Amino acid sequence: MNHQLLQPDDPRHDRLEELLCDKAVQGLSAAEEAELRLLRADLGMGEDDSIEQAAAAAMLAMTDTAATEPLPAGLRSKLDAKAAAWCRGETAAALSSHELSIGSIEFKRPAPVSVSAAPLAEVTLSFRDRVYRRAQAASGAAGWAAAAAALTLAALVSTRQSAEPGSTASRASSERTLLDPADAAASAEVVRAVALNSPVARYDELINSGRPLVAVAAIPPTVDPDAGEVAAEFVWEPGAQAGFLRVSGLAATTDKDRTYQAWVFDQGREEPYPVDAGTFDIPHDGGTWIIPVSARLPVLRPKAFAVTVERAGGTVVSAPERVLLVGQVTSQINTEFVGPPSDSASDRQRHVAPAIPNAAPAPDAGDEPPPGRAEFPTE
Amino acid sequence: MNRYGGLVYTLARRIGYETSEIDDAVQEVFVALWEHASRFDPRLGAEETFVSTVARRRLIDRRRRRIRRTKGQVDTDVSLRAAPPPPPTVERSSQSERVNEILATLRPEQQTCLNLSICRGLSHDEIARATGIPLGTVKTHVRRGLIALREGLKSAPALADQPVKPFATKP
Repeated sequence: MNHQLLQPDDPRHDRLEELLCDKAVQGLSAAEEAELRLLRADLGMGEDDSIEQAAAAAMLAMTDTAATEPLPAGLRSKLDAKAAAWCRGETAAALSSHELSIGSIEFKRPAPVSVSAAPLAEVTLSFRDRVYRRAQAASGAAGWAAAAAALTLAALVSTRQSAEPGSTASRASSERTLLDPADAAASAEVVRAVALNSPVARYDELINSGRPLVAVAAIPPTVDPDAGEVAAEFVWEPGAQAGFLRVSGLAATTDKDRTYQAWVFDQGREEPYPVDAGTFDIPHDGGTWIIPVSARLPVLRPKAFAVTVERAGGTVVSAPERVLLVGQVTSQINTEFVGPPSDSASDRQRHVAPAIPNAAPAPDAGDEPPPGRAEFPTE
Repeated sequence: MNRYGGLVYTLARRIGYETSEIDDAVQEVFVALWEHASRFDPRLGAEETFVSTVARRRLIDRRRRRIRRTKGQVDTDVSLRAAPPPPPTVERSSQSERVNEILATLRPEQQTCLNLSICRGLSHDEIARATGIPLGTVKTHVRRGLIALREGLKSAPALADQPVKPFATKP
């Protein structure tokens, strides 16, 4: 922990310690986890598990070694099977070809599998997951490049699927040409021709515009049984004070009593409240949705994005009971970019957080939200 | 698995997992260990502490998920589990010795709260109900105890001087 930035009399110090202690002994709620992340970001701190380590050390010291129970044979067998499956890459994607040995089992990372034989969703998932994990493992420019590649791929796949959603021919074609940028770009042209003003087309136009963007992967701040396989990314254009949320796996808001709300946390605002970026509904389960978002107040330096569950109608002040997704901006664009959009190629600057883990563009990625749904009033 | 299987299994049982779900919990912990093995740094602590830290985090998160699924149902049998802390007779390593020295400097009610929280996995609410100590005081005891442990272990030369065992070795 970087104590240089944190004075003992800083009220944030107490709150930070409180959250770290709670996390170590009883875990945090989604909202608390998000608060901890933002507090760390605010204070320029990285991960700090020293309290958790202290708790673990105390537990070991207070545990009677003689009372340690042996692993039951049945459970041991299950673990062996789990280890073998993990070794084959069924429970974790391949990272690299290096060997990892733990305990009595030696793991040799499998070679990357062929992407052509698997169904579309699985192909995309495994490939993107691998790219994401490589991006995590790499450092510096290489890591950013890998993450950017993942985002670009996601856009291409999304576009490809948007062109001809749901058709068998489309799926077969996608399998053959999934990684062919030229083909995907051609499909993008089809999208523009068919629906120039659709969210999908505008999203595609934005990410290919060359204008300065902030692109952030958003993930559940903690494990939430209701979150399922939710994955998302925000693409934000500072000059327009607007952008898009691309999300898959969110449950449908069919009960009319709740809605989703997007938020932008602004480094330039003194008060700790995020800026409302609009509410939206998801018409049905499944699929990937492109949702326009825009700030209700000026945002100078976005530092994080979030999605919460709110009562229908949303709220103007953030007091979220449930934070579903949080995406933290890890590299801030220069404020000189905050202004009218520019088409200058020299302005092209995209800041990409680690790409989405476990996010698979669904076959119906191109589904258009019905009018009045999934596309909140931006004006 | 040979070396730490029993430890993880015992942790899961102590934290309050039922037999029906303990297998899944232990498997989840081991998958996390395999995936995070590269994060182990022997300069920061003993291998056993690393395993325990990862295991505790997983088990606590899973327990939270379970409680959330049951809509706030909590174990009402906390009084039976709110036993006083065991005497610090276990001396596994120099780190454990240091931990016991630090714990000995805490007041008895602080030790009780820490033990119930860390070893038994009770929530602050459950500790308050089991001991009769006000909730705010429980939180303070746990927090100050953890911070004392962290600071004490940071300054403990014994921690850094412990023999380094490579994590990736066959038993």
